[in-house]
Amino acid sequence: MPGVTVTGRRLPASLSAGAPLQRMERCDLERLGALEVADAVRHFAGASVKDYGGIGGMKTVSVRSLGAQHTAVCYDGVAVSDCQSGQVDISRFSLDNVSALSLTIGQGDDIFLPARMLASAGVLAIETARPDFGRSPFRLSAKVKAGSFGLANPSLSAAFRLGRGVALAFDGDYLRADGNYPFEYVNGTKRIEAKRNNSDIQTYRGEVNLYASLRGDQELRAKAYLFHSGRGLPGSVVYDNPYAEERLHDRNYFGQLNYEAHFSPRWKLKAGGKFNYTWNRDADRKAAGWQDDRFKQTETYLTATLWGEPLRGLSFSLAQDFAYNDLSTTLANCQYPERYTVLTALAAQYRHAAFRMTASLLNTYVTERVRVGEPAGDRKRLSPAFSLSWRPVRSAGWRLRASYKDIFRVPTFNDLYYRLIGNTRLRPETTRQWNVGTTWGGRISSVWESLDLSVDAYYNKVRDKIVAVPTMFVWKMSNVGEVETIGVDVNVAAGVRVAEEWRCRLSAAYNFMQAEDVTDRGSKLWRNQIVYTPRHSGSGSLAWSTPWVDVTYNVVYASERYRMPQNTADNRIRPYVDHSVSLFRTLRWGKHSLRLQADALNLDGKNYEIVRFYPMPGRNYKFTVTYYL
Amino acid sequence: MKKMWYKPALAALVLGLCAACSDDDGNTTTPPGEGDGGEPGVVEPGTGTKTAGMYVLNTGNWGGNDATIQYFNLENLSISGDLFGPANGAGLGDLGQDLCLYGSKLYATVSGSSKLEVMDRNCKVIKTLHVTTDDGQTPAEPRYMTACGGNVYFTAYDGTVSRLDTASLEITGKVAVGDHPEALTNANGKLYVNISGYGTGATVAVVDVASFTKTKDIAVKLNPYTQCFTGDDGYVYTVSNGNYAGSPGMSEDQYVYGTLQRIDPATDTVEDVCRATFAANHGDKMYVLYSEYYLPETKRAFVLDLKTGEETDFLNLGDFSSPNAIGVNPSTGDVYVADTPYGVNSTVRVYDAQGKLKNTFEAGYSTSKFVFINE
Repeated sequence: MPGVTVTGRRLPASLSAGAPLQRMERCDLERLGALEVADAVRHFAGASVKDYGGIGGMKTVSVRSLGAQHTAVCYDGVAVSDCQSGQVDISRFSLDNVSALSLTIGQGDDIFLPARMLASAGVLAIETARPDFGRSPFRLSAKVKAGSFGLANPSLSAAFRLGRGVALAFDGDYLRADGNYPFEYVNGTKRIEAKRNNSDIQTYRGEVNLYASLRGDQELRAKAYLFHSGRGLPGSVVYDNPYAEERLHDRNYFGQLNYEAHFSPRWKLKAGGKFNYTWNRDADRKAAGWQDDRFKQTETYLTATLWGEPLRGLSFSLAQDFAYNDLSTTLANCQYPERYTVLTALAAQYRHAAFRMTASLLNTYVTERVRVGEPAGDRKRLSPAFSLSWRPVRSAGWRLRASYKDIFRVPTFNDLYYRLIGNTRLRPETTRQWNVGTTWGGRISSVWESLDLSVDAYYNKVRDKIVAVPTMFVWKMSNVGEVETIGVDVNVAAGVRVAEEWRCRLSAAYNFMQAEDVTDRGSKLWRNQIVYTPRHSGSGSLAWSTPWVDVTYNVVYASERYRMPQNTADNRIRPYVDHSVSLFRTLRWGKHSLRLQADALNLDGKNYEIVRFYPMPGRNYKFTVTYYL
Repeated sequence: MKKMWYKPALAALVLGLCAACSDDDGNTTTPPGEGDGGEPGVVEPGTGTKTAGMYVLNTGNWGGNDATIQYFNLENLSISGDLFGPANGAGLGDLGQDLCLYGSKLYATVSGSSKLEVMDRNCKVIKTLHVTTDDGQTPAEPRYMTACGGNVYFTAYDGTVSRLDTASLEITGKVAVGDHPEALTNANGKLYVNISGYGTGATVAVVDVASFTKTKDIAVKLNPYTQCFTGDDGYVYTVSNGNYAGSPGMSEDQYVYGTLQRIDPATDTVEDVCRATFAANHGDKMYVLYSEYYLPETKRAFVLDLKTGEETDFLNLGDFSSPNAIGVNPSTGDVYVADTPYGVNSTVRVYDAQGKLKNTFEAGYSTSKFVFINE
């Protein structure tokens, strides 16, 4: 657990995967100086984070222009869901106890997974660290993070070994920030210098994990999670009207249980369950009076997956998931929708020394009930996916890969039932993804310890895109859009050893994405780049380890984007570059160690925008002290 | 980005001017100057009662700070870029709700920015009024305007109508009228104010202009909203949007259709005129666009003869994805209809009185009002 940077590397899974897979281990995350999951995800090629700015600002992940609702976020093996909006705000996850982040695009290689993991176009998986005790019966770490705009974030983790193979771990953190950062805008020729207001945030997070290794190669893990937050919503910058009073309160509790049994090297079983409760209160004081809305949703989820390898190299899996979701709100005309989802996935994989083929078929059945009005009709769909990875030259680390996935998203409760705008006649929004790529990984010399390279070209087609459309006063969610995306992802990572204890690690990602509206040839939108999708984006990271201090430089870039579907100049959002530098050092004495880190973020100091009229904070600093025992 | 914000508008203006320069009449797409001397460099278009120009208000997108005002030159049929941005060095703001031409000045309510801009006819700001609740703490989101007797009256979401003296440009009074007041008009010494109740209201509030007090509420159909105007016949016309007739789970006896109603300002009695979503009046004619989202077969556009009650089909609504404004040029009888699909600039189609398409032009986002200059 102490920040030991592991430089010895096995072949990363990302190179042998049949579909694009990117992964960041704990050491990579620490090097990035990332405070939040979102800061790290920005470094994945093909992922874009929609960030409303500041610590309290919502952050969602979209993969290859498909939209956040097509990205599943998975926390320790179980999907995090939001049936109301269909998108997960990743700002609520702390990076403190995260051991790895990975992003899979399309059909992954792992078939020993719950059916739900196959049910979206991309999966962002967050894995928390399992305590590694060594000889000690317990582990302890305490961290204090402080930074600009009133950020204070103490956290504590403790893990105890209770017996052979049984461990209990606690993680807790508190975060507060004023978030009232200054920003500069120009309206025409008029300069606006102001501060974000009503952007304070307080969060409490707690997590308990119980790990048990049982006889007969069985593993059990139970988790309880608690999250409370209260924050101001500063809203967009509205010219001549800086008023912002809206407050958002969130409560989220969930408990999950994962069980895994390896009966033999050829048979294994995985089962799990989760109960999730989410409560939000959105209150605003307006001239017409108070608006105070509450939302409550629950999810009950059960899953079981059986994996077998009846013939050498040929494996199968069968996964069965069930989920129940409900939503109740205090909005007028709430219909109290309930949803039952049944997912069945059958997958097969053939592994050979030179190639690996994976195919899966997912069956989805969704039925809904409402207490008031009419529910949406049942939905049934079969979704195939396929991937292939091939190593043409046995002795070389060069691979070719190809994958295809046909998947969809069910309309969210907001899409279907939101007051007036909702439309129960919506069809699912479908996506089809094709990817071909090549990877190469190897060691060139004793200096170039490793070099990994991947290049992928892809084509996506989105049909029946769900969009709010106005028709004479009435805004309705409708299936109107068709989007075609052509893109290229490039990832490079290299490790250079200059001398013993002098190492340098370089990584870069680039993404080209042409995501165009192809709904109607006669429309003004024909072949316009879709909203909030940069044609070019990239990231880079250069980390230097020396015996005294580790230094990392990070950069994230996105080209121009458009705020509205029509690509006119007044909709354009300027390109941005975000540079940051982190320094850290670990001091050790006896069993104790202390890690000191300083981060300087957005060095340029520009209030660039990811979402138009939501300025990002300018230059800011963070200091972190972590004590490990 | 912010500096370039008005460049397309400027470019459009320059293009407009170039087009105008080749015009024999020497007309430009710049709006007419004020009667009392005007602004230097402004050419007076047209003379007499001829309507020579029209302002186009583009509401813009919610949170987009992209409301604009354009000028359409009726003689050479050219549309200018945004007038407000270049004239003032800053954009009009967020959600231009209403535009009113009264005397020598233009008035614009900007809801999102919660202000009322008083401008000369070139959209140069004379005064900006930040509209707030009485304690000055909360933006009150001004909505619609009507003008009479040297005052401009405007509704705001604090449930009031305010009186702006057009000489002193000061607010001289404020009266509570009801929840979420929207469009209003004046007739027979009274103000008629749609009380939308954010979709739950079903009244028109009456305010006596002389005493500036609310005198009564008139019951109308559910959700009177963005349209309340005084017809050429002196009646007050108001459109109620109803309750989304045909919504799943709603039985037919619960339907409240979008309806145009007529209030006699002498007696304050109400009668239904016809089903309508948008309406514009010219003489004996009422131009009506009608559609119920859940009852697509109801979709139609027609001209209602207010004398005979005869309905004649007008333009083809199938050409539109989402009509959002209709206006009739009082001197020529030409009908202007703005189509405002989401996320794209509006298209304005111009028809003659018989419904024949004359021309089309592109305006800004969510075009919501045409203001004809009638000299």
